Amino acid sequence: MTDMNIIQAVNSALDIALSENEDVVLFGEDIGRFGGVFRATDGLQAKHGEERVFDTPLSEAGIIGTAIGMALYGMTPVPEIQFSDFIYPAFDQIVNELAKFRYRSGGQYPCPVTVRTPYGGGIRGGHYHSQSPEAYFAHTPGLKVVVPSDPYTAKGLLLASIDDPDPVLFLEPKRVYRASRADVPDEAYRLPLGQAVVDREGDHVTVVAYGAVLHEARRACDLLAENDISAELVDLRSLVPLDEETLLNSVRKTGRLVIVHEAPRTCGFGAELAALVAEKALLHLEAPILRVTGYDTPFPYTLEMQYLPDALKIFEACETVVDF
Amino acid sequence: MARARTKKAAAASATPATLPLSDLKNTYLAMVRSRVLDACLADLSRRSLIGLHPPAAGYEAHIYGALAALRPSDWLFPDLRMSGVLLARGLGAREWARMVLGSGSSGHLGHASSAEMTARSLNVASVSPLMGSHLIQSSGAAHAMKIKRSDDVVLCWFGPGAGATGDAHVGLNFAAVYKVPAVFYFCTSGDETADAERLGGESFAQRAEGYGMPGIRVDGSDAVAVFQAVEAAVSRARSGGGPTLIEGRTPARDEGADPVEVLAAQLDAAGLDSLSLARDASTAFEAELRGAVEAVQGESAPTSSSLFEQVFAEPSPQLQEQRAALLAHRNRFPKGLGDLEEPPS
Repeated sequence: MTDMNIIQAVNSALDIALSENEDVVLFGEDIGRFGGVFRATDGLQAKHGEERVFDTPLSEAGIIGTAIGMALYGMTPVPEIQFSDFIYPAFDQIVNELAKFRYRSGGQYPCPVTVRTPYGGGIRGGHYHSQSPEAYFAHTPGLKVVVPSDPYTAKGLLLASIDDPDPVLFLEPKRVYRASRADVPDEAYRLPLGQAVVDREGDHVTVVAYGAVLHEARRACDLLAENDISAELVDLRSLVPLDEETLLNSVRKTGRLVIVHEAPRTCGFGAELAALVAEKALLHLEAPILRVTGYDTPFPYTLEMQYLPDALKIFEACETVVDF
Repeated sequence: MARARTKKAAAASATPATLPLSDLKNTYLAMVRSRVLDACLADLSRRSLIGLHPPAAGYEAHIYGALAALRPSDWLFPDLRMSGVLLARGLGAREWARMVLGSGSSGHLGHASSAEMTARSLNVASVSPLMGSHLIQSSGAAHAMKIKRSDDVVLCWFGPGAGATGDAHVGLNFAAVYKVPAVFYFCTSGDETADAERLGGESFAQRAEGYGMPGIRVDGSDAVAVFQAVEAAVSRARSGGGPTLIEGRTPARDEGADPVEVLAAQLDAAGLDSLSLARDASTAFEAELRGAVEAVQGESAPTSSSLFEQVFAEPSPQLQEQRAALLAHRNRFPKGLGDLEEPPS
């Protein structure tokens, strides 16, 4: 066990993947010699060589198109998109190519590409270094979407994503890249995709979250406990595939649901979760489902702390449904 | 034979390779079959059995002249009108028919349209209807060959539409940066006006100099010239020399030579009877395709269940549930709306 932050956990997972499987290659903008703008690939080029860890020209479509071509040939590319805000030039390659190749070829051409990219706000990044684009990609058939929240889940989910026979968008919560620390096993381990966990147990209301905002939800649970409200917190870990049972079982127990995500509200992933619970656990509900999300605005620069869901907003929503 | 090369390319292969007469004949027969395939696809389209399928007419030298320079382990990234390369690479007529008709028992499970052909076993990538995206993927596949120490190469065909995209620039640039074993073959349509609307400049091959790779122009109506240009580029790629950009110029239809007839004249000059060769090959191939279509028609339409196959290696719980819901729905309403009009008594 080593005390690590998320960056170090990601680096450890990539180092293991490169060592275990000679078909794994890493590439992206500034990830080789420089080691990545967040240092996630620090030292990996020196250790594994310039052929397997390399810098690319500045083109996201180029990065993902290259990854697809390599995957078609049987390799296991783990490309990085420097910020998830920059992913849109590769949207066509991801949505129309990466996610459809297996289907279009009837399974002859799986595309086991793991696209790593930091997402989310709270770092004074403004419009183009803060977005949470997960809903676009969760809406894309054939693509898995995974969001770790801390060093332990980052390492275990990343190794599982790289092993997975299908393409995975791996969204790293950059706001807590360094702030979140934990004891992490030095050896390899995998956390299954599509398995949510009950992060803490409670009876009165279920809070579901993923990624960076999970830490705000934990604080909200503390605040609620101080006010005699027992909240159960579910960490989704992966949006696609989605572990419905863990969420539904929790809602059946508590009868109330508050959904939290940073991304804008309209057609955010919370809408999917609310529809799911309405379809499958309506009669267990004792209050309306509430969402605490980013607003339907471009990600703001100056007012980002007002934009982002925080512990208090989550607390207030929970109080509302408990008092309904 | 109108043919110009850059100085760099001329240095790369001073003596053009020659094609043995047997290969020349096979190339000619493949081009003849391509015309039959065009007619067959047009007929299927007229009968509404498939959607529109762009013809390969005028492109035969681009396709089959280039193919003659490759070996079966080399990878192909064709464009939409080039599905004939699968047949040339050995795809059986019945499997071709299953794929074209979207049969549930085809290699792609009926998931793809008639132009989006795939055959991994033949090293042919799934043909994408998008413009230009496959240039980058070609560079990626060739990059993988380089890393894996394979001496195979990638051949990527594309036209002026794809050439106009940002992806074309990115694909060529990536290929040049990493010196991958790829041959990018730009083929014109023969419609100079349409081409001029898509691309500026006199020659697409001129751009190669800017990328730091050889650029070669070749007469796209002359299969032997195409073979020689591609053969030189392939040799260069196989020996670690990196990518080449070839521009195959198809003469305008109203004034230009027909690529099938150009090669026929060359065969006749070598003492073969191209006319009877073509007649026999056309008759046999037409019968083969027609027979295959008849044999597999109605063989197996894709099932409702197959809609959900190969989205992922293992269907997610949500997909399984959606599949079960669709099957239950169809079970309850086997006649669709008709079941509502005649409620069961």
